[in-house]
Amino acid sequence: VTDLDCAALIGSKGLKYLDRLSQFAIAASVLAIQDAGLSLEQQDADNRGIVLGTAFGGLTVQQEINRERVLQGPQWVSPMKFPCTPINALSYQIPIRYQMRLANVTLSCGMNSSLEAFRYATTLLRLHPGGILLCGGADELSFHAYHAGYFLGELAGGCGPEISCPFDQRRNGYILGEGCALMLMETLKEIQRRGQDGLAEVLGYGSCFAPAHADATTRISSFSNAMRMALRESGIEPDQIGFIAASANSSRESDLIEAQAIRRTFKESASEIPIAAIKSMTGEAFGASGAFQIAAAVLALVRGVLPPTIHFEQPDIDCPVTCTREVGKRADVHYAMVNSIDRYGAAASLVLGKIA
Amino acid sequence: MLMMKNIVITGLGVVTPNAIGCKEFLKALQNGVSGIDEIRSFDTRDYPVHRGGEVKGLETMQLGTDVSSFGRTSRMAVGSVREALEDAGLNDSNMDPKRAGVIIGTTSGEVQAIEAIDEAWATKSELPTHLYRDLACGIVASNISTVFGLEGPTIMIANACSSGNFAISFGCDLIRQGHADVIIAGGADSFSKVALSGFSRVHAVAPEVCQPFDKNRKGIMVGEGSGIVILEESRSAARREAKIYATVLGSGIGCDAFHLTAPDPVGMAKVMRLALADATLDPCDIDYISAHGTGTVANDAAETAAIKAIFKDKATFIPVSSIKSMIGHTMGAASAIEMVACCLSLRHGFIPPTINFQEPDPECDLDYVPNSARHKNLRNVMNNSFAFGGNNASVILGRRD
Repeated sequence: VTDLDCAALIGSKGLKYLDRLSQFAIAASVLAIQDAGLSLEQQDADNRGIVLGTAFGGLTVQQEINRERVLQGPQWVSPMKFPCTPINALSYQIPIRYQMRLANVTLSCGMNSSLEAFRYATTLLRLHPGGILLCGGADELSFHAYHAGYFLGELAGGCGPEISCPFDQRRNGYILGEGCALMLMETLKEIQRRGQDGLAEVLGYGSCFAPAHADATTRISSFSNAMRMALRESGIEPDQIGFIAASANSSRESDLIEAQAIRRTFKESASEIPIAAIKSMTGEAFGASGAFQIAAAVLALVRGVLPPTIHFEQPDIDCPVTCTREVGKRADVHYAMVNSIDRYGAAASLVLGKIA
Repeated sequence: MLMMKNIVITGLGVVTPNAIGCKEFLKALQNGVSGIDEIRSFDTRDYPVHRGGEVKGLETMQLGTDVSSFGRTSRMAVGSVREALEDAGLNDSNMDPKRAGVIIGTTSGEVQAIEAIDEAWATKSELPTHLYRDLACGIVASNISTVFGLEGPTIMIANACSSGNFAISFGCDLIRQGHADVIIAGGADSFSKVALSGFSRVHAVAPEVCQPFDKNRKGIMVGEGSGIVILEESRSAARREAKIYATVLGSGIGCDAFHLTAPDPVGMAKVMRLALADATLDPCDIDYISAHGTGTVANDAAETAAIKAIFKDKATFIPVSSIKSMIGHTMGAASAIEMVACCLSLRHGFIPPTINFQEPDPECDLDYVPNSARHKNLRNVMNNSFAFGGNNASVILGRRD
């Protein structure tokens, strides 16, 4: 993210004490609330909350503290930065800014963080039907994330072209991305009570775990089970899904696992469902990725326009999926699926529907 | 949808600075044994404080699997999970791995791996590349699911020092909405130099001992550990004739929306009130409060005020104690370890003491169970936790009769 003008959104007061990741989160919160055209003040503070997903969270601030600790000595670490070292520090300012007293919860489940945040938020709203939640995920492109990707051999460019080309034959790793996407969530009843229309409905969720070192067959069946659980909870049949926002991030193995899992879940209709891997454009943004995909799925439901999968030029026979190629492809989507698979083996699937 | 299922705790596992395993932990709580000592795992010469709550003898714990590639947080957590599953009598024959999941709360995950990486980076030394696997805290829950063959939800909650209570509360919700039948829930964190340097920089670390609610309290003791409880639906636990420690009667969560670090009695009182309402209990039904009680001037006064706001004239009759006096502040593990302590208290009919209590503070005028444990038959207990960012959670457990 190169052109974020946080001062334009929240003013410059206190900005210098906000780390980059917290700036992403607070900027996205301002944009989401503006977009909803909602004056939050009309809601009771005890009904407002935030649920975030992040894989790395406050690691960069922690790195600064560690640097001060090692180079200057433990007695000289910054007392201002220290409270921002926990993983969830990126969310601290938002509830203070918007007086959100219902909850401030952070889920940290690697690349699945955003989807797990949506499960948490959905659960919380079922328990607290009058609530209004900001929900989504954030992560930044840090030294840590880069080094981890590099040393674990996950980055694109090590053994092939340095591009993000999910499901493509040339894929050889991800390119790092970053950012934050937040959405406002309420119960349908509450939105309709206000006489407003929502954008999309969260219908079902599924998650499964298979160790990252397990064989491909086990991992495919695990991911497929997550998709089936999400479909079952949604009460819809596989052939009703009109769009899949894929997790595929241009990795050799996990793209294949997802493609095969989609095949296994959707059988013959798999080749007819348009699938977009937006990480071809955003890169792998870890905790933010799922929220980006959810935003793309919501836009597909609302506007009937599907995102493209760029760099999808040389389809891989082992990844039998039909990726969207052209820009601005139109489709009437009633139900969309969002997938996510983490580097350690957890897989998750979320089904969204158009509001009837 | 969320079904009105009763969720019970059927197994416990702990690793703390004063005990490895529940048997030892029970004895330590009953005898007021301190786990605070000189810090031994690194040189504290440059630090203003030199004592803390390190877990001793972790290597002696039977982990039953090769954990040589795991970070310290994962090792403690895996050890506690193994103990809890054995305690609950759950194994391959009676637990469907597809219906079993794990949810762990943490402040910093594998913080020692991160510190080692950052130290190498800062001093331009060779980077310990094998530690990068541990950078994202999701590794802890993933390690647990891998070791125990769990195929269900595998989740980390990062809500700083109240993570354990958040994890246990959400674990119950996962069972209620049919996402799992068995949830392994708790918290884990390793001894952190970031925490030690940061808290001592803001003069929040005590030099010698942690003295919650004492007039001369000087701050927290940095600690480490892990606490795990096994959550199941009461009917399925009864069907397999499991030992039942407690029923999770209710929980309350909230955010102060007030200040990054300063505690807010209003927000603290709110989660206690919500937990009571969720449990459909009156304040007078609570027999014991396991306090957040960190030992800082601000927290203990604010928590006392919050308890008085909820329990009114009954407040002075309810025993309140902080086991942080014995084990220090174990960060994301704290409320989970305290939950284990609450389960042991309910089962064995006693209240753990607040040790190192010497001089009462006019601002803290409740019954803090000073210095020695007390025999008492308990019905319902409340477990409080408050964290940076004003993230609070309170959970109420009840004995099953």
